[in-house]
Amino acid sequence: MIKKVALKIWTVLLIASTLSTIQFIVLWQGYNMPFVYSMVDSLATNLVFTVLTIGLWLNVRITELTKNPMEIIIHHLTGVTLVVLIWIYVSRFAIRSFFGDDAFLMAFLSQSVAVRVAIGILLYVFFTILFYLLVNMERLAKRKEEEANLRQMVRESELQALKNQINPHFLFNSLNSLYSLSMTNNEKAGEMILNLSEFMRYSLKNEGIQFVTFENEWMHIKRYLDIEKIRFGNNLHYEEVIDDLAYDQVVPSMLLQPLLENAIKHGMYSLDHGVSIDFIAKLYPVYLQIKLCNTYDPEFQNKRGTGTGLKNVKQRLEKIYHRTDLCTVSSNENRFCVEIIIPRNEKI
Amino acid sequence: MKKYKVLIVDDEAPAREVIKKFITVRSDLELVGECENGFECLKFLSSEQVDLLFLDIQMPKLNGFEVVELMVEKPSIIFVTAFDQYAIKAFEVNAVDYVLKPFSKDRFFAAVDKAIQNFQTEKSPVHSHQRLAESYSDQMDQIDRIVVRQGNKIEVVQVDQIRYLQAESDYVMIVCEKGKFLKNKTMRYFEDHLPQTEFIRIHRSFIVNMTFVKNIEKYTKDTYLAILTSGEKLNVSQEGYKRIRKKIV
Repeated sequence: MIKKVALKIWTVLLIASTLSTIQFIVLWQGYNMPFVYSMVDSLATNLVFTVLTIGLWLNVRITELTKNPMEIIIHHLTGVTLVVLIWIYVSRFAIRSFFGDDAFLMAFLSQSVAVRVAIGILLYVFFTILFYLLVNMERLAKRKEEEANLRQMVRESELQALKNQINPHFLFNSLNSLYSLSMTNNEKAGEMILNLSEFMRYSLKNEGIQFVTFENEWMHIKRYLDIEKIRFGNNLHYEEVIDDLAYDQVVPSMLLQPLLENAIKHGMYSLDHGVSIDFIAKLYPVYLQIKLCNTYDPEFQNKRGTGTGLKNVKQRLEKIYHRTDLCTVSSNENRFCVEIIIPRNEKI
Repeated sequence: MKKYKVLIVDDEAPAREVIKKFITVRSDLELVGECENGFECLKFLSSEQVDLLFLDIQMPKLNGFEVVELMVEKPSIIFVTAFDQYAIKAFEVNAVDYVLKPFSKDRFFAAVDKAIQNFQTEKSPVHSHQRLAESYSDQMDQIDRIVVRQGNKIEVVQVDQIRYLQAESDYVMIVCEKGKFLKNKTMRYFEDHLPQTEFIRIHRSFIVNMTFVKNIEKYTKDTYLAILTSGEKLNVSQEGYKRIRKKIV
């Protein structure tokens, strides 16, 4: 910030000294005015103008705020008039105080007013354009920096999402089941390979996509269940009750998978003989209700790593539908349920 | 030719199938049983001779580390996991042998040969195993449950149910709703691994769960007594009192 201000001040001082030198030469050599007078005149007038450039700068900043071209024109007309008037009078006052009421010098001042006004207007225009340029350069640089930051953030989140999609536990365990199947039942192994690849494809495809049909989500969940069933055999039992009309409903993509992962994790690993999962989808006039329940044993609950999956689902629903009441959890001593409400035909 | 008796412990049938297939290739291995979870495993070990144990880590109810903690017998163990960075770290720190699922026949045989070698040189695997569960917990912020064994009975104690812990020579006695249990660990271990927001070391002999403390009374000039909601009274040392004050503030 300080650097920028310093830069501006140096630019103005540089230009002012250049102009001052030029003016001095013109007065001394061109108009044959006395040496001292030429010095004082050029220094004083340019010093005053330098101070006035602050006003020019402010004017430029103020006009940034309006979009109305008329307002901008009026601002600048007022600006140029004021600046030139002040400039002429203050410089005249400064020179007068220095030299006193010398008739010859005063006559010269009066005669040169027209030229000074013209130069004043030119300087005003020049500096105003210069300042507008500076302001725009600043803005451009800032925008480039913001864009670079944003691109970095998007890359990072894409990478993280990809890492999350390829759930290593699930992947290695599935590959192990596949390995086993390949030794005992080639046909089933083939089926599982297809299931697994479809599963991964859906996970990766829906990265940027927000919404899918409920049918797509359910197929994905079913694939997950069928893959896990190979691992767990009869220890994984599931049943689904889905309204025929529910399949066409639009739901957020990849919303249900984390809930299913939780259900299996908490149910399977706390019970003796495996988990029983119920999946229900009911269509109501204004919303689609999805309920996922699993049996579990609270005594053998492993609380480690709990909560994040559910929290993410809640956050996502809140972000999309701007409501906090769409996800509810209920449980008793042996059953845990998560219920999700998806509003129908929402304009997103 | 000596046949080594092998027990497979894994909750997934396909995973067990792989090991079973590999075992049939070797004439020096004899499969004596399969178990689906830690309880079945402990029960089996107490009734049958087992030389070599293939133990999965992620299992229902008790995980592999907890099974090792509760084990009385001392078979050779090869640990199995699909993907658990914490488990793998614990294995490496304690130099115990493990295989990653899925594993090849060659990998499997290499692990078996190593275990047999250790067997023959009578290298005791038990000491490294004892530290395993600790190495695993070390990587987590805190433990949330403790498994204890009383004879053949196994209890899982949720940490938030513990009222207090008391030092008992080489052991620590855990006092909770379910009863009193001895655990082969140090007070220091619990001080480091129990949630520090609730558990405070109030005395050389006592760690208390503040949620069960009703109030604290002055006892002697420098010591206090912690009165629990259950009526029990525990000594609070000068140091311990300072710790309580710090926590409350």
